Amino acid sequence: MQTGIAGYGVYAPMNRITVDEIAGVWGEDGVSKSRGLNVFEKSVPDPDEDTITISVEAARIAMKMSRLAREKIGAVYVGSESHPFAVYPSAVHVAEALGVTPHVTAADLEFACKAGTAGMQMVFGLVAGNIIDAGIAIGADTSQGRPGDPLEYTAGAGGAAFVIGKDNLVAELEGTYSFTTDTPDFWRREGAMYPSHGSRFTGAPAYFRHVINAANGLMEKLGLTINDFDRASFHQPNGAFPLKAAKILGLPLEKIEDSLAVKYIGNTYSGASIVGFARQLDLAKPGERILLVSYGSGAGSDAFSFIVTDAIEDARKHGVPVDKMISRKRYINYATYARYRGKIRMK
Amino acid sequence: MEKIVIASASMTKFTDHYDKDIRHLASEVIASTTLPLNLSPKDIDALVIGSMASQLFTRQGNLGALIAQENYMYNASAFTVEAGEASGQAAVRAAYSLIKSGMHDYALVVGVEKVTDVLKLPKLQSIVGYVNMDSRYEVDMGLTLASMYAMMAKAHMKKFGTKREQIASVAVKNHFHGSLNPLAQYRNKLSVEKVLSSEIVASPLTLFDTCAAADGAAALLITTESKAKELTDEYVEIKASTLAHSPVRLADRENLYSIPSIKLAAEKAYEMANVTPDKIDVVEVHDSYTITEIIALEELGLFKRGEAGKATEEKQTYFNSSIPVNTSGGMKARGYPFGAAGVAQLVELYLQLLSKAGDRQVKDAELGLAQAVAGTGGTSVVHILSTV
Repeated sequence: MQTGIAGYGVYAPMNRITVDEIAGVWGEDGVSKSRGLNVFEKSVPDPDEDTITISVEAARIAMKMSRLAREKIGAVYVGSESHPFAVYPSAVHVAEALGVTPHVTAADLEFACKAGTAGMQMVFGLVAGNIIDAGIAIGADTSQGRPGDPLEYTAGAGGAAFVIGKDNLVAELEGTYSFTTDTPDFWRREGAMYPSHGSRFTGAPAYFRHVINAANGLMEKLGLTINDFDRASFHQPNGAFPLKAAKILGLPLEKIEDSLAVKYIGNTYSGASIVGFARQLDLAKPGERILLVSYGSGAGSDAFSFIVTDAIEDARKHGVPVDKMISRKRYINYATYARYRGKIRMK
Repeated sequence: MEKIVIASASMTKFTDHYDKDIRHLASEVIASTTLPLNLSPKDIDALVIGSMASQLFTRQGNLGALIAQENYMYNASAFTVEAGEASGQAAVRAAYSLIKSGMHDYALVVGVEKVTDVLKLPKLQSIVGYVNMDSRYEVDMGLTLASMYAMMAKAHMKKFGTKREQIASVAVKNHFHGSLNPLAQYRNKLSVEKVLSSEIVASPLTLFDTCAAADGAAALLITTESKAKELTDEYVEIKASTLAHSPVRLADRENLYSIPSIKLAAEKAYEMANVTPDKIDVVEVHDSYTITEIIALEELGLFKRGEAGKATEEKQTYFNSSIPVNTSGGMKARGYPFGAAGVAQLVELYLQLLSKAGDRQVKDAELGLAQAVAGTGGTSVVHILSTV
């Protein structure tokens, strides 16, 4: 049975703070930072936004594009590292808001930035196993950046949702492969506000090792080479890592450049690779093959190969382009950002 | 008196060895230094570790016993020598003394440092400061080593008219040499523009005037000439081994543009080796910062005071020029895992004197000098090596 994506949607909060604005607060050179990170600004959620609200917005768009009846949805999974509750899943809020309860299975996932794609694999499994007709997998985050830490420049908010099933497909799943190890490059203890990370250790032994191995493993499994792909989206903690990974794999930069939403909305963590993937879907032509490789610290990468169908051009009319979410913005300063993100000591 | 010689020398690559602990780095270099000689671990009766701050960087002290045991050197008298950033060469001096005194037959010097477990730069700066400067009157008061050298650079520029571009050309040269050294941490070439446009660390010094964090190890086997001959045909003589100190606190010195301890150690070394500066064929100086190399060259008597900047800019210190300086790439490009780096300076001289320096070989190198300094100049160590 051919499974695939029937609809997709992206949501990013409207507020933006520039790398330059943040750099000014810490006495650093914003121009130099932007150049090094290949990131210019990031999105900031309003005080009344969170992973749940972002997930609902993205999922609504995906549902509308899929044209599937609510009754067809049999699963809702939300992957995030900023679930509002440690116990009380974001997924049930989303399921209720979408009107797909009660005949549905739901759960929250965590695997740093690849929780969303892990959820996608689970839904693909349920559909392929004929347990459900369709399901929704979401990756969304409102992660916090520790003030003065390098990650503060890129920790953005946003998410992407995918309706996965066997009908009305805009992209068919050709295959998926994952590469997972115990690599503690980035972590957050229960109750801690900000994560800890291993600085340069997050590069070669973490991001690159897993992304490259997952991509190669997928290609070997499917009998493909890098030249068989027309577009790609990798996890984007900044705008530089994906380009470096592309270079290592021998993927021409123009095939990945369009995925780099990170330059304008920052790293949306569980949303990162899949927001980029959604943007590629916005631009893809029928028949194109797209490579998606996520990366989650801890660590692991999920790689997917999708083939875009003829139905996509019509289906896109029922969605909301990722660029609309990116370009719809208003700038805030660091003080407002600190207030919105609860960084000001009130007592 | 029997000649004291270096019978074997090797080093690991200097880089972020995220998968290796300090003990692994030491074991790796011990193997590469002793195995070619067919020397059994039980024959080594002295192990001198040169490590600046293992207790603070990687929470491990007592390295002598740890490394000796891990490498089956059960007969070795093992301990660590610390002299701030000069720990590596200070350890060589200790090992040299053990052999010269006749108390030991084979002294293995292992310089080793595991720095990259310290993730945050402020913590790294703090450790380096406390270990090398005056903790109460300098570091606790907010001074860092970078800011001290920035002041020394400004003083040198004001006193002698040394130009910013001349200071930057030290980094350019050392990176060029690094590009010729397979074990160097950085093998990319730099330009003066690139150095000047990088982020300011402590004005006028920018990021490329300073050294990056690195892990690594380097080792030498020191013994008498007669014992060396039983093991190998290739060895170099240690003709001088000296150590001197001057006020640790920069404020206690006469001026900000000189480092008296280097001159003191060098003068004693030239006397001990019975040579003059003009006889030196190849030099390894301690370029913790670019300005440090310029001041060191002047203190070593290789250039007149105030002229080393211009000489570097005029390319007089390249490997194929009149006075080859830091052909290894220096602390800047070869890499700077503190204790290991000091020993690595002697590894470079060993390679040059035995014509094993590959693409960066200095022609007819017979006499080499290595200089180390701690902090802004508290301790300085000088070694002079020669072919036999």
